[in-house]
Amino acid sequence: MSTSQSLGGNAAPIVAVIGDNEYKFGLLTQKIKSGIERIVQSRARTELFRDKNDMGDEEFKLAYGAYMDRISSGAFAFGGVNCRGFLTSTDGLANLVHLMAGISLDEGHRLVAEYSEEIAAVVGQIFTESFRSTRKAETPGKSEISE
Amino acid sequence: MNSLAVVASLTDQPYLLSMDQIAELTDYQIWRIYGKERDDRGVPKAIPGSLAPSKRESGIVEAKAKYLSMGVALGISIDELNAAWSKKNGGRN
Repeated sequence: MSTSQSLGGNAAPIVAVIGDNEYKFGLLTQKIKSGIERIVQSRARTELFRDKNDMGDEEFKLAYGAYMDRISSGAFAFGGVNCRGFLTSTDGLANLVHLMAGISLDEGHRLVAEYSEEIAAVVGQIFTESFRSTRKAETPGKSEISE
Repeated sequence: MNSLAVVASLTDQPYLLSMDQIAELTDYQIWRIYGKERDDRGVPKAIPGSLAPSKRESGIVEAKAKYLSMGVALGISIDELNAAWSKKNGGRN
């Protein structure tokens, strides 16, 4: 195992040349995961307020209470159904790229639209290095220093 | 374990991490490095292969120990034995 893999989010970023530009991608740290959760929460809230005019006051209060309950119960947690659904969308992937590469959301959308294969490869590598379950099994007794 | 319990355990002994430090960790680091398996007394177990010497290194250490004990028994000083060992092994102690 390499030093970069062991250090994870604290290691040097993954540098990828996409198109004519160089991008530095950080790994999926708790901060980035939280960022995605906030976006999903915010989108649910936006949808709720968009429908506000079609609801009566009481109905909106109930709907808003339900929304707050969903936040408290972890309905928007990273890895949950809502986040998973969001990340499988083009918009979700663009937001992920925006957070991990520290670029604007518009730039994230452009990269996802124009360089989908490259982005998929980088994101795949990032997920592999960031999560325990996506790593290859580490063979007991095999020296990690020599890898 | 839920995320609250994970964060709480990292802020507690023996890690004492701040929230900012935890925010910069990946899941892999938390589970595989900070959350590594512990024995019955709570002492972290070694990650397989991480620091254990290879069989070859163990063999060399064992051979040197035998060589030194034999040399000392013959009345040769440790310094002389070490110098001779080093010369025989291309400068390696």
